[in-house]
Amino acid sequence: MSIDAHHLRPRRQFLWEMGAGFAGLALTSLLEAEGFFPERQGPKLPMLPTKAKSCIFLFMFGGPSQVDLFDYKPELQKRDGQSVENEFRRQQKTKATLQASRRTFRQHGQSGLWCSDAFPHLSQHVDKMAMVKSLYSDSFSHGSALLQMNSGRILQGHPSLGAWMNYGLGTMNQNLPGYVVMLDPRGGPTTGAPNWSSGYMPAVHQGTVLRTAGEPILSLKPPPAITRDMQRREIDFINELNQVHQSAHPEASELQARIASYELAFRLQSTAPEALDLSQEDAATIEMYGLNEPKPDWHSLALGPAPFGRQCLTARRLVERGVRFVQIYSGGGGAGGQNTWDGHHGIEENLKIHCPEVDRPIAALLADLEQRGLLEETLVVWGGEFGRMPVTEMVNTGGKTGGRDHNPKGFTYWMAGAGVKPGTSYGATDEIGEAAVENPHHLRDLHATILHLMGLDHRRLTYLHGGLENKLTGVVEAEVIKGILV
Amino acid sequence: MANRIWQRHFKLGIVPTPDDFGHTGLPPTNQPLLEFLAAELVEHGWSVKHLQRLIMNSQAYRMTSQSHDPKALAVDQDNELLWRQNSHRTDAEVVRDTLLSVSGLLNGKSGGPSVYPTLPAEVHSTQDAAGKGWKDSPPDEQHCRSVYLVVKRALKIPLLESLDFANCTSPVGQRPTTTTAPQALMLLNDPFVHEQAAALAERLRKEAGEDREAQVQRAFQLVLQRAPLESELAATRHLFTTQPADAALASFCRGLLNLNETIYVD
Repeated sequence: MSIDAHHLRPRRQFLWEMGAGFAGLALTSLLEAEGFFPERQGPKLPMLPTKAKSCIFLFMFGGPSQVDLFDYKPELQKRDGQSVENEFRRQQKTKATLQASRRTFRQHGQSGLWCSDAFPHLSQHVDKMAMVKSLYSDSFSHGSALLQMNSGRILQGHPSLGAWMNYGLGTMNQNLPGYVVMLDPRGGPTTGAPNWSSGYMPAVHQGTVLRTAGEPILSLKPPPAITRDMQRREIDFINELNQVHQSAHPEASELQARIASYELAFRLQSTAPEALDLSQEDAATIEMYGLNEPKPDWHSLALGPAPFGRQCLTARRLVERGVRFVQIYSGGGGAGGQNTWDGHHGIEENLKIHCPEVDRPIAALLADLEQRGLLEETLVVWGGEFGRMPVTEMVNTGGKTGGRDHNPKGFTYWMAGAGVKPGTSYGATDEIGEAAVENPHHLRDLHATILHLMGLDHRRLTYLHGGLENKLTGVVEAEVIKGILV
Repeated sequence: MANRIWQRHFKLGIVPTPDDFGHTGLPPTNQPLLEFLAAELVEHGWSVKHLQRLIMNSQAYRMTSQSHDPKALAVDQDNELLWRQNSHRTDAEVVRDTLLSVSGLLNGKSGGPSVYPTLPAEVHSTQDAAGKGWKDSPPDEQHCRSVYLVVKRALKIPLLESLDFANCTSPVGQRPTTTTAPQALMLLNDPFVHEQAAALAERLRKEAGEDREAQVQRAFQLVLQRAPLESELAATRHLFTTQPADAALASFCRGLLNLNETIYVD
C-alpha cells in the first residue's frame, strides 16, 4: 500500500467500522438512503471470480483419525502389530506398535474415492468431494492446533477465518450475523471463544454463538416479564430522545447509526428465531437429517445424529438467508476423553460414538444443498485440528492399547461445493499414513484455498495492525492448492 | 505518552496514529502543542494527573461538540484543529462505570484482588470446561469500577465486548468504535443493565419520593446532569401512560441509560 493510501486509512477505516459486518450493512443502507455515507459500503465484490457465497465449516474437534476414515493404507493393514520407531509428540522417539484400522475400506461412487464403513451415508457422496490427504500443521496440542486451524496462528488474538471472510466480503443479510458458530451440546472446544474471535479487527466481525435450543443469541430477548410491546415502547422512547439529541449534531452519522441499531435489534428478535424454526421443514427433510433418531443408550457420551443434524439443517437455513460463514463443532468439553474425536482411549469406541453423530447429518446436508441448487454457491469444509497416529497409543493411557495419539504431520480435509473439483483425491501420506509426503501442504495453504474459493486473494486480503499488513496466512508465502480446483 | 493521554480526551491523538510515529504513521496536527505537552509531562515528574488537569482545563477540552461555525466547517471539516470538541462514545469500561455511578451501586473502593462478575451460564458454556476457575465475587464487590474486573483472555464480558473492549492478547493503541444491533441488544437486555436500571428506579423513589414529576426531574439530573426539555417530558409522559404501571419506572430508567447522550461525550 502506498503512503498516500495509508494516510487515507483512518477515516476510511472509521467509516467502514460502522458500515460492515453484522448489522453494519443494514445501518449502511439505512444511512445511505438518508444520504449519510459519502461512499458505498456493505457487501464488497469478491477479488476473484467465484460462485461461492457462503461457507459451512464442519469442525471435528479432537482430531479425527484419517487412517480409519478416508486415508486407506493397505501397508498399515498388512503390518498390524509390527513394532516401529515412532516420533511421539515432538522429537521423542519411542518404540510403538502399528495399529491397523479395524474398519473396512471400500471405493465409492464414480470417482472410486476411498471411505471406510464408519461413514455409510457420507460415503455415498464422495463424488462431490475433493479430499486433501497431505495436510500438515505445527502443533501437537489441541488448544494451539485449534487456534491455528481457525486463525492461522498458534497464539490467541488473531482474527479467525470467518472474521476474515466477513471483513473481505461483507454481509449479505442485514438481519442476521454474518458469522455463526454452533457448539457441541457437550461443551465448547479447547480455548473457547478465541477460536471465533475477530482478534485485532472490530468486534463486528467475530462469530456469534447460536444455540439451537433455548435462547438462540445471548441477550436477544429481555427477561420474560417484559413483553415485545413493552420493549417496542421502550425503544420508541430511546429513539425519540436520541433524535432530539441528534438534531444538535446533524453531521454525526454515528449517532444516527445508533438509532438505526435499535430498530435492527428489534427486528433481529423475530428474524433470528425464524431462521432457526425447523418446524417449517417437511417431514422427509427432518428424517433425512436424522432429527428423529433417539439418543443411543449403549454409551453415556453418545448423542446420536439428532443434535448435529439439527445444526446442519440450521446451517442450510442460514446460508439460504445469506449468512456468510457457519462453523459447527462436533465434539465438545475438555479434550482427552471420548466426548470429542480425541480417541486416545480407544479409537473404535470413539468412532462408534462420533461417526454416527455426523454421518447422516452431513450426507443430508450435501444432498439437500445440491437439491436446492445451493451447493455450487456454498463451500463445505470438513476436518479437525489435526489427524491421528497409525500406531497404538500407550503414553497417555497408562499402557492401555487401542487408542491413537495426535498427529499434525499428516491429516485429511475434504471440501465440497463452490468451485471444488468433485471426486478428487489429492496428495498422500506415507505408506502407513503418518506423515504427508506427496504434495504436502501446510494448513496455511488450506486457508489460502478456502479464501480463493470464496473469491478472496490471500495475498491481498490484509488488515493493518501493529504496523504490519496482517494476513490470515501469515508472513510465510502460502499457496492455493490448485489440484482440487475446477 | 502525552499523545495517548490527549487521545483519551479528544478521541484522536495529536498524532492520530498513536502506535506509529514513524514515516508510515500520520504527521502531528499540531506539533508545537505535542512538544509542549511532552515537556510538561517530563518537567512535572511524569505526573499523568498534572497533564490530565492541564488538558481538561484547556479551552479546547471545554468546548462543546455542538458548534456549527460554517467558516470553520469549510476550512477544517474533520476538526483536526479542534475548533470544537469531538463527539465520541466513551470506552466500554466508562459506560459500565457510568451506569453503576448513576444507579448509586458503585463500590468506589480501590485496590484488592480482581473481581469476577456473574455471567449468564451460556457465556461459560462456550468454554471447554464451563465455569472452571471462575468464582463469582460477592454482589457488592461486583459493583466495583471496571478497572478491577478480571480479564480472562478466552472469556470476555459480553457487555464490554459489544462496546469494543480491547483485544486482551496484544497492545492496542486505539480501539475501534463500532455500532451494531447486538450492542443495542446488550444495552437493552443484559442482566447487568437491568440491575442498574432497577437500582436507579429505587434510588429515584428514595430521593424524589412517589411524585412522578420529581422522579423524572431527578433522573435527568442524575443521568444527564440537566433538566429535561419539553419534548423529552412529553415522550416521558407517553412512556409512563403506555407501559404497565409497575414496570414503567424501570423502563424509563433503562431508556435513559441507553441514550446516546449518556454514553457519548459531547
